Amino acid sequence: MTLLELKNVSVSYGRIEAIHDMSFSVEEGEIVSLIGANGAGKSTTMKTISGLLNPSRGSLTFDGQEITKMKAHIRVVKGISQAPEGRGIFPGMTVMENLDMGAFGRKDRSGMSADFERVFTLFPRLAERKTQIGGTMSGGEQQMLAIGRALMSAPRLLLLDEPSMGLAPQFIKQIFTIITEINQQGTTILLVEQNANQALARAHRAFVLETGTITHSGTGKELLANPAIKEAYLGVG
Amino acid sequence: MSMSEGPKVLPGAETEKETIDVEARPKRSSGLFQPLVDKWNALPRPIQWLWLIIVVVIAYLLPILDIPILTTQPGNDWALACFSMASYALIAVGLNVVVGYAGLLDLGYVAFFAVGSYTAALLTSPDSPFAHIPYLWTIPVAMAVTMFFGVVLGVPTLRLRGDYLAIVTLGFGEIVRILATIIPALKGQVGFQNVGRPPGTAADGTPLFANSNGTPWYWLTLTIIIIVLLLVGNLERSRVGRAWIAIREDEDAAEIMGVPTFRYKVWAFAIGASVGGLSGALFAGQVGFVNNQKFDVQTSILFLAAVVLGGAGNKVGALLGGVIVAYIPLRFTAIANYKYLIFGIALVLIMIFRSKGLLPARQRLLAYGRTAYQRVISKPGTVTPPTPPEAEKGAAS
Amino acid sequence: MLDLLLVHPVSANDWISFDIPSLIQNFWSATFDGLTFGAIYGLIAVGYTLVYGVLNLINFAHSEVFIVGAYAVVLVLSALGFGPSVPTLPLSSIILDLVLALIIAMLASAATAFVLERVAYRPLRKRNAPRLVFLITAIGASFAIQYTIFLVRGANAEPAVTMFQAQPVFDVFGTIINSQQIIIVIAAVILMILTDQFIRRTRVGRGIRAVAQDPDTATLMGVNKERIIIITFIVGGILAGAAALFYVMLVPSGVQYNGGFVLGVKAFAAAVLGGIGNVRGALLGGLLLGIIGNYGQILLGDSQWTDVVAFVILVLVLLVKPTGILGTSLGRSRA
Repeated sequence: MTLLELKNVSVSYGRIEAIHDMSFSVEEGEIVSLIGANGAGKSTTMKTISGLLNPSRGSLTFDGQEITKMKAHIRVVKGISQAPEGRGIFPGMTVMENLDMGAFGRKDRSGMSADFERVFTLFPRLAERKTQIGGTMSGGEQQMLAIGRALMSAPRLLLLDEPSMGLAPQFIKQIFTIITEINQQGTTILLVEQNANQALARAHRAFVLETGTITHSGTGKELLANPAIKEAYLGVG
Repeated sequence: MSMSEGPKVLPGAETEKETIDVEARPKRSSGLFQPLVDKWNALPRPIQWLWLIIVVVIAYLLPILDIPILTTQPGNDWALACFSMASYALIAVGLNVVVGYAGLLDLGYVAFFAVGSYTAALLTSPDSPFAHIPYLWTIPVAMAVTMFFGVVLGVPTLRLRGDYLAIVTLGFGEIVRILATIIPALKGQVGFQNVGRPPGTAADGTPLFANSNGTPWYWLTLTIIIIVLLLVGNLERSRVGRAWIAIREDEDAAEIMGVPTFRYKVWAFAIGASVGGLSGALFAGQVGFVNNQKFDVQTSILFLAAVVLGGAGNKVGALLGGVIVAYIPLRFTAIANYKYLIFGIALVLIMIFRSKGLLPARQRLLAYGRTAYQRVISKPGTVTPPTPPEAEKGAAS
Repeated sequence: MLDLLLVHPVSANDWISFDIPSLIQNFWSATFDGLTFGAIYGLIAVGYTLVYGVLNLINFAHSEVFIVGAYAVVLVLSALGFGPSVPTLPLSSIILDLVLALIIAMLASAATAFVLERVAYRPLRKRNAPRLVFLITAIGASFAIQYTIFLVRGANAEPAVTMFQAQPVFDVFGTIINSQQIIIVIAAVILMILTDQFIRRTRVGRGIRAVAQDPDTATLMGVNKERIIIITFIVGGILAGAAALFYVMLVPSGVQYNGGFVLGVKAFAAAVLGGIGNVRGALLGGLLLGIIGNYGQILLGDSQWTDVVAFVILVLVLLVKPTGILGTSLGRSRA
């Protein structure tokens, strides 16, 4: 079943169009990766899906419902949750408070405590540091917190914007393992990455974004094997 | 006034032009007089000069002409009204350097005006214990003193976000008035009588620059305005002016690109302050009397309204705004009591409906904003970053 | 330099004179009076500090939010029969009347803040206006409200409304502390603690802190930013309304159309002194500013010196420690 669908979406900043006429969909249960260079429009795509940006043309559908004009904070309640680029940890709040923020729109206490458990199982590190102030944590810990926080809204679609950015190699592997685990627990994931190797290897399907347009699409394995992509994004060839 | 002649560009055509001109910025409406401005810019240079000369001549003749519809008589003496308009115009041109060019909000401009007035009074009035100097000398002294105050006030605040400057100047405006009241040497409401005047005697033996005769004072002020406009125009086109615009458009970017933003902000603030002091000294001379009554916060906001109404960032616009803000309460005495309400609401409305005032900052200057970083830092010894394509377009237009 | 220019002898006392014996003699009464005024500054300062924390905007019109509340107090109490002389009503009915005046003042101030936000600031936010535009709008709105009051109520101060006779309660170091001072300081501190807890402990409070720290991410967490902003304005308005009641209690004849302005600058100075964006800082800054201002007034011999002292403190804090005593961010106020 199609969970998210973008139809002919264009997004502009003033007169500069960052995304041209983009269409793609995410099926329920998938991991979909968007890869591309800096400025290809990856983060713009994510912000458009989460509602921080409004498309100038085209439409977005989530779970069969049109969401093109829906406000960002309502999309969270509907089940779209984003771990923003650069992590976006509230620097003055503790780990617990940051996680609480993730559940801001929720009222079901039992479901929330189950999700706390889930996050602490996925990231035992966070359980150890419940009272630490977010701004004082390391980059890897902040990334865990950002993902954990995004899970606290019990999303159906999790948007991850460059989760590997600025992380040490051993952390990158760990983060991607956890992402796969979250997916296996039933959360659909749309992943934006510059680290194409990992992103393609973990994805069911993937799209390559170049200057605001999708240039390649296929399963993760197909794209990994594509010579052009190998050369441009995987540093081999 | 002469600029109002000639065919008007159709509103539709104007809109179309705008969509072409505005690059990658949120769309803004242009000033009210944009068609005129376009017309003016299209004129050849000699014709522009011809018109300018006509305007200047008319401006000098203004107090003598006393045009029936325009006149403020019988409620207010026309020549004195002209002086008042010229004073506001001069103040607005000075404040425009601070608010319009550098984008710094000065809410206590009247304080600099007050410092200038008191400087002139303390150095010329027989009520003052200080040594006396000829009146005309007090003008540069007043400018220097107010510039000093500008630096003292600017240095602690201009390092911080712009908001702090706004509140500090707002406070300063009030403090100067309070100090004039509570420091015994400044004589509070009693004030200083017989402030000096420029030399010269009329045929009947009375002083040429009599307090009741607005015309010579108006001519003096108008001459000073022309000089200040020329100086400010030169600054505007210089590296300093480009740095100001860069700061106004995006201070962080300017800083990153190597513009010493703090230093240029202090300069703008101090230059603006000194023009305020200059007009204060002129005011003190014309009235001949300085006390603590004229320098309230409301007046500062009127000054700001003049700049914003005329078009922040455009010196001619500011000049026009100053004239209008002074003229309306003098001409329409019935609404004089409501002037603060009117101009307060005008400020909010202009800001909300995003008009740039009567004469907007020139498109060319806005384009400067984007290229200014390059130009400012393209001095020897610094690295020039690659020119983004928009900037080139901006420079060419 | 100045001396060289002098032709007539001029005494230094003509400029500034210090009355140290008077300060020593009145030290404790100045302290207690200062605390009382400081509590009022603090209540107003919260309005500046919250809005600054969330929007990064100095809401110049907050002084008018306060003065509208003060007018509400005077009008309600006049209607209830209060006047310049001490009322002869039984205590219970005075208390009831004052509570009614307090509630109406809070409503009036909060409504003013609400309208201000919706009419003046929201349209600017919608189109991402530059900061200068916000500030000019703020000062314009402040002006427009002030002169609307002027049109309706005239230039003169409202007739005095005396709420009750201040009774001596304690004698500390030979100085009487009266019932007014106690009521004002305790009530202000309680209101500030409630506000502080509201921001720390409640869900909406967390939303306020989240928007203050990172508005975009807050939105991604499901926070309705517009709602948080309007709540922030309303909370500031409610506290300004409370400040208005206490102000009239202390200065029964002090309500004039332009009376909010200087108090506003002082309250903002208090917010900066304590650390802008910080509720506890607002209280601390208010109390300190009240005390120091009062010392200055007695030392220099004119009540208007309090304003000058407040201003000098503002500039000094900006020069030495712009983040204030307790630091700035709303979020960090927890630590």
